Amino acid sequence: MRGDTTYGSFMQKVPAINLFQCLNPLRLAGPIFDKELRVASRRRRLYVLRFGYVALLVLLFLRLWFLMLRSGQAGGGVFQVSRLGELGKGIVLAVLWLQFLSGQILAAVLLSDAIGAEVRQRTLDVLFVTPIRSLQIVMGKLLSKLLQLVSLLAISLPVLAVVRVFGGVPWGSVIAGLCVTLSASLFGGALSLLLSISSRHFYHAVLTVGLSFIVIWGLVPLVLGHLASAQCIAGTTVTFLLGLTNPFVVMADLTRGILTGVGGMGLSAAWPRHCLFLLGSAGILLAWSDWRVRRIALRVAPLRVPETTTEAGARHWGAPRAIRPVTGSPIVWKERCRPLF
Amino acid sequence: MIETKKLTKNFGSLVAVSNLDLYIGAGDIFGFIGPNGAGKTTTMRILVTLLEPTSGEAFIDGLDISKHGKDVRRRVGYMPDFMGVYDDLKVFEYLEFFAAAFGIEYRKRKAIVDGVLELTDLVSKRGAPVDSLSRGMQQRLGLARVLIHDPKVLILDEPASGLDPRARIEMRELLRELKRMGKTIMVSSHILSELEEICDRIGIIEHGQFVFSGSMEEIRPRLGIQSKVRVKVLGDPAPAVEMLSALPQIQKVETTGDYLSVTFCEGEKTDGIIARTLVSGGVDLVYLQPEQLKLDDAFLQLTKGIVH
Repeated sequence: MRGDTTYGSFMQKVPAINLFQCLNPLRLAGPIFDKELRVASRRRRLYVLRFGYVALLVLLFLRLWFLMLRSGQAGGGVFQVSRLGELGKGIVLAVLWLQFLSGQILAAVLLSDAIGAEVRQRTLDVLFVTPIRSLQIVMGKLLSKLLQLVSLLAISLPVLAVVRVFGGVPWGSVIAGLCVTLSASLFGGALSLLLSISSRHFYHAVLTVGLSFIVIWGLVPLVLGHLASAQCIAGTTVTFLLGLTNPFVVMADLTRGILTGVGGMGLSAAWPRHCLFLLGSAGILLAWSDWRVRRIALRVAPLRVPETTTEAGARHWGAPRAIRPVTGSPIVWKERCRPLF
Repeated sequence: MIETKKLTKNFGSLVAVSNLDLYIGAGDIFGFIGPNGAGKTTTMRILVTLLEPTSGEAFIDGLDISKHGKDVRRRVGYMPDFMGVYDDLKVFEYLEFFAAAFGIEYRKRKAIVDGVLELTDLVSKRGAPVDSLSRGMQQRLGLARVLIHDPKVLILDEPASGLDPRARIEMRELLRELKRMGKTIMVSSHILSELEEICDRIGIIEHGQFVFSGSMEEIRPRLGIQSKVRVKVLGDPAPAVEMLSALPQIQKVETTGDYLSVTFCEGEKTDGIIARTLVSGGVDLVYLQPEQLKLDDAFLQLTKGIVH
């Protein structure tokens, strides 16, 4: 069966890595990136997402078009041209907001099971006996999913380019919107990836990302606004902080700028700073993920050791609990014993 | 090739491995045996750098695993007891992925993957999805993965678990083939008869400590067991019993059915004395077989079944 193999003769010493290979950005992601892309192309989910996104885009486009048509055909040529400009603004804004919202949601969904699946399938420890580093696992997962996301968002770029012909929207605003979308998506993806490390199911990560977004993008501005109205903090400081940290505020300001032709809160020029802030925050989350992935891989080991006997287990469960007798329906009893979260 | 010195691993108050001293020479097959929870998997995971020891040292090919983790991983192939697989990859892609993970150049990967597929007899499954493989095939794929970077040392945790008899025999043959190729193999298994046939040395571990380490021949004196021989003669066995009982080297002769069980005095050898005595006494000897000490028996005698 195997006696006559030529296997040994193929084995070569693994070559040293040269400077060119070190500078290759794909090397940062390693073979994980390649594997993830290959696997993604076989999953029906990706094609459903693409179809759904395009369908949503078409529906949005048609809705705006019919609204425009319904508003009447009267008026001269100049009026009609100006109406085209208004339509262009409407479509561009709709597409930008669609990209902005769907980008964050999709990034969170696509990365919600990135590391959790490896832990569940017990493949993480197999990866860690290879020279692959935890950073390569994190970056490979992130970049491959972001590439899928970008390819999805890129579907709408031709629409933006065509609509630009109608006039009324400067390129700078379109690019700013795209940059804010991408940086917010990267931040959402990095947060989802971090949460996926400790989430048993993907929806745990998605829900936690959703809650985090509500707190960070919703509650914090409310609190800051309240503090500003109570004159505990200067209004300019609040504007600066929100412009720096909150992509919804920046997008709203860009929208106002596109509609009125002037910068709303004077934040329009601040979007690069905001993008850098989000990229930096995403970088911190990724560094944290890198550290946690390594730790979780090593923690997979004592699976067979009763958790209460380990330090982590003792911390988690506290003192050993008394054995609970099964009462009533065993299924109901078992479900009651499970932690709620 | 593999060496540990006072290796200890604690999980909180639980001592999984305690002061373990282990030495496995180059080209040996070492059988690692112990009850569930004895510390086998923990020891193996320490050796492949998946766990850090609490104290003590471990060396693979002379490299300290704590200081040269990356180099150690290039020298070791580890197959865990439960091997997770990627659902959406095909067999060739799965192996190519790990070849890439070990930094093997793209242009060499195909030849290497084909080589390990041939070695593990998986050529016919080259394009099959990994999750469609049977348990036995998946175990072989795991072994193929382990071999992809041509490691000097193989650490295999229960490679035959869950396999049917044919698959187990094939796995055993494969391990023999790998030994012929010069690999040092550390293998744990609950199927003790498997290890008995292929291992040069065995180590029996319980409660994180070795209760025995050495060759099968060394177990007998360790357990204080005398050599035994099973004998069958034609006709009435009484004269044979009388003749053998008179020999000073023989402690006792018992009749069990058609057979005689002859126990030698401690330290005495069995060389030919029984055959010579019976034949010269005119008894027709039809069967003579030294009784082998089964690894299962040694395991049961040496371990107490202590579970953490």
